[in-house]
Amino acid sequence: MSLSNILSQDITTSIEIPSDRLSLSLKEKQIVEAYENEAWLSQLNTHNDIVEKKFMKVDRNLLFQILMIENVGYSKSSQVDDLKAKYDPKNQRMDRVRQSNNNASSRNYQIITQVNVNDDDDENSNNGSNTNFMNTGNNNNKAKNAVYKLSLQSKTGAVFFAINSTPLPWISCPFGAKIIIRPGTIFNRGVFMLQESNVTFLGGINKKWNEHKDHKINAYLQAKLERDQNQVKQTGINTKKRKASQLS
Amino acid sequence: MRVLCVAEKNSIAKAVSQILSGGNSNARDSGYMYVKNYDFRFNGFPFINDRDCDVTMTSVAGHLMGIDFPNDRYGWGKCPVHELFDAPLLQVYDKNQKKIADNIKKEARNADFLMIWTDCDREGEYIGWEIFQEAKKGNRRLNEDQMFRANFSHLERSHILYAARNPRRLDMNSVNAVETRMEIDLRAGVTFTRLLTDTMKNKVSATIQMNSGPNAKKENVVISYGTCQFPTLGFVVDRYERIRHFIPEEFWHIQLQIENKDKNGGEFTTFQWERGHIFDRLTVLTFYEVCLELAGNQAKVIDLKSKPTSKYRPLPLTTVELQKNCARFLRLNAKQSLDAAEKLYQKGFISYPRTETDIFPQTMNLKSLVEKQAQLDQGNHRSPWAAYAEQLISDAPGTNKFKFPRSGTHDDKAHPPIHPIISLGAKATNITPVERSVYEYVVRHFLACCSEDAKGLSTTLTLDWAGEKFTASGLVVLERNFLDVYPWAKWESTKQLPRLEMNEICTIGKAEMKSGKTSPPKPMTESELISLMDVNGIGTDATIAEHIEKIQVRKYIKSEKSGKETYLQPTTLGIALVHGFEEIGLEDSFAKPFQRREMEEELKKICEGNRTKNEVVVDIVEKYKKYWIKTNGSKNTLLEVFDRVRRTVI
Repeated sequence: MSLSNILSQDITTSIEIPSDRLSLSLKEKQIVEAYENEAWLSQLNTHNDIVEKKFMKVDRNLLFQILMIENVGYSKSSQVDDLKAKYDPKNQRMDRVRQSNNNASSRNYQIITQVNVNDDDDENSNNGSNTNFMNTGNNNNKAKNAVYKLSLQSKTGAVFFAINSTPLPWISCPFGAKIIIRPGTIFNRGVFMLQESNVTFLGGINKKWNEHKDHKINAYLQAKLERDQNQVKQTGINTKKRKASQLS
Repeated sequence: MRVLCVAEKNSIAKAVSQILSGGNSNARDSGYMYVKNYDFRFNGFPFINDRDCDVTMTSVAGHLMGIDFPNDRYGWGKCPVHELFDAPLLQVYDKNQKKIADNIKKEARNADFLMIWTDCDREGEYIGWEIFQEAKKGNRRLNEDQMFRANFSHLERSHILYAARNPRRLDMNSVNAVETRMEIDLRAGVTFTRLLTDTMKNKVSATIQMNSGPNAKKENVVISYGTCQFPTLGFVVDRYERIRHFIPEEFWHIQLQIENKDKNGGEFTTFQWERGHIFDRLTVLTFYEVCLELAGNQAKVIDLKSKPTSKYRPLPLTTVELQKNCARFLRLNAKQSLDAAEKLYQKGFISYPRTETDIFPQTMNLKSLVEKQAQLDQGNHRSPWAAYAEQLISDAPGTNKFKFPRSGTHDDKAHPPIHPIISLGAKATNITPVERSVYEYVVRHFLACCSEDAKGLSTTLTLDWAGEKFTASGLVVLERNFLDVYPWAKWESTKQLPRLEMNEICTIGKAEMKSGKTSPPKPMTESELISLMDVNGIGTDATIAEHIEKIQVRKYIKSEKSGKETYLQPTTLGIALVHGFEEIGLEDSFAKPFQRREMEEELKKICEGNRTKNEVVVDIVEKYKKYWIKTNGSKNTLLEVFDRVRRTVI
């Protein structure tokens, strides 16, 4: 009862903890304990105070809910492309010979974009005609080294970021899922550095947050891109952009 | 006994007659300037038990007829356009086709057998069927039992003799598939072309008039639709829009510099972060600060790999590769290179240039072809690559000796990869400069295929800095091998890496957090467009060049030079057509390749005997009819979009 209570709720709202602790399983006890522990840096109240905190180590189990997960290893434009290809495959831009199945979710879905790896352009070749795009990294490595930026929220409503230095098997979880960050985890300027070995994934979901998830992520990325564009306009330092519009 | 042989073009008829007659054939006029009839005697046809017989070898010039709607009733403006979806079709001949057809009827009159020598591809199969129809009109005794088909892919003597002695039957499934495609392309093409032209002509020609000044000659504007033209245009417009909407994004990464102690000047080697580019500054800053805190300026060597590496020789040459590489290496457009290859084939210098196969049959004697390129009998007039070919097959010591080519994964079961047949001496006349450079490319590619891979040693050093990994690699080229004859492939030794041992702790000279910005893709090049069309099944190796040419003639795209690269850019009209149809919102987007690919799959089913021509035609034509009605009801959208694009683009 208490377990599903916590996992399916927004932990910033008040949650009823059962009084009979003895009947709880070990895992349930763990969750309750992490929930009841003093929230991370709750004594600090300004953003600046948090950003000043360099290289701390977590000393107790901390419960968080996941608000957002971003893949920061991919450009926002290519993520937007992939999302569009997923929910509107017939109108995706077709000007690229896709060479990899790396981003599996959208590539498997599609009826289309046949992958025809150009046999002649072996791994050593650098004169292929498809090399002039943004993602030039080795794709296998890319999956192994993928870095995500998570937005985490504690019961007080405070929001922190987290990044992963090792792959996290649960990274494609729904929004609202809960995790426990365990002692020893490094915290630097508002960011937890997660490793699989020092996080417990509890699951859980917030149904409302996950409605039209793809569209929400798309809107979020688009908004960020627009912000980037405006910044560029303001600072006016971007010569490449100007070149591009000249060509068109 | 009398056998009538018909090839797809005169040059083939001439070459085959030469071989079958042993040089004793007489040429007669055919009534059409570019076709000759060759008479000779031959005794190798199995269907008359190898008996001596009279042979007349003639040819057509591509298709012998076309299909069209009867002009008196269905010509432009003579009927409501939508009637054309169900209108009857006629076989039509132009002036030259008429002459050629008459010649075939006449020559068939006394023939006991008909043997088709058209090119061995789907289109050739269909032309064979056209020839048979025509021959029957001249000689009612001819039926399918008396018709045979030669199976050949190049004009080498033993191959042609083998083909004459081992004929097969015409493949009617292929014939039906081509007929299906022709009918769909005609109905969709004519109906939409009339609709588009009638709708947009005035507006478009007014714009052209405005832009080119009052004295410019008034052009007759046709705004055509073609089932391949539009997807081809779509690729170019998609790229254009991608560039136009491109937003640069900042990314960050970490680099370590390690001093190379062997060098006195304090030379540094840069190690790159295995995570590559990260599109979030805070993330990279966290890694950077945490690593610095945990490990300071110490990094440990955790991997040191030295392994032999190769740069592979190219795969055997297909048409699409030929066109792509001629665009890339020789700056020839697809049409130029294919035309030149056709000419070279007709003159006997190279094998049939339309092929999808990148596997040489194991039985082929490639060594003798290499030997021809060594030009040992040419004395001082040998080509620059002759010495290379000579050492490839010689017994002299060396690492680079003849090696049977790598095999790719494509086999069209009709033609081997493109290869040189005989050597083209420096003195050869009636060869254009373009043909000569395409020939040189084909030869060099072939010799590279028959060579050893280039060999080298690659070393990769991996450092661990507080759990984050950084690598640097170096390459030493040991044997150049095929690179010596294939100057377009680049593979060079790199700078030496610092000498470090496994598990050694080294001092980081400099750890930096760097940033950069994504840059927009380049506009489409022709070579890229060819790849996209190939991968997406738009056009065939033989027609890709025509489609690209067509949308340039229609002024949907134009080529623009920038530095030494030539880019393809859409025009206002091209952009407006693509977006216009997008806005009308047909279920299948005309400017995307999906619909064409579906049709190609249906044609394959016909070839395999799993669907009939009629089923496929009805299915697909119905779809176009639906789309046509919708487009016809949304004509204004096309005009509005054109105006909008014109305002925003210029």
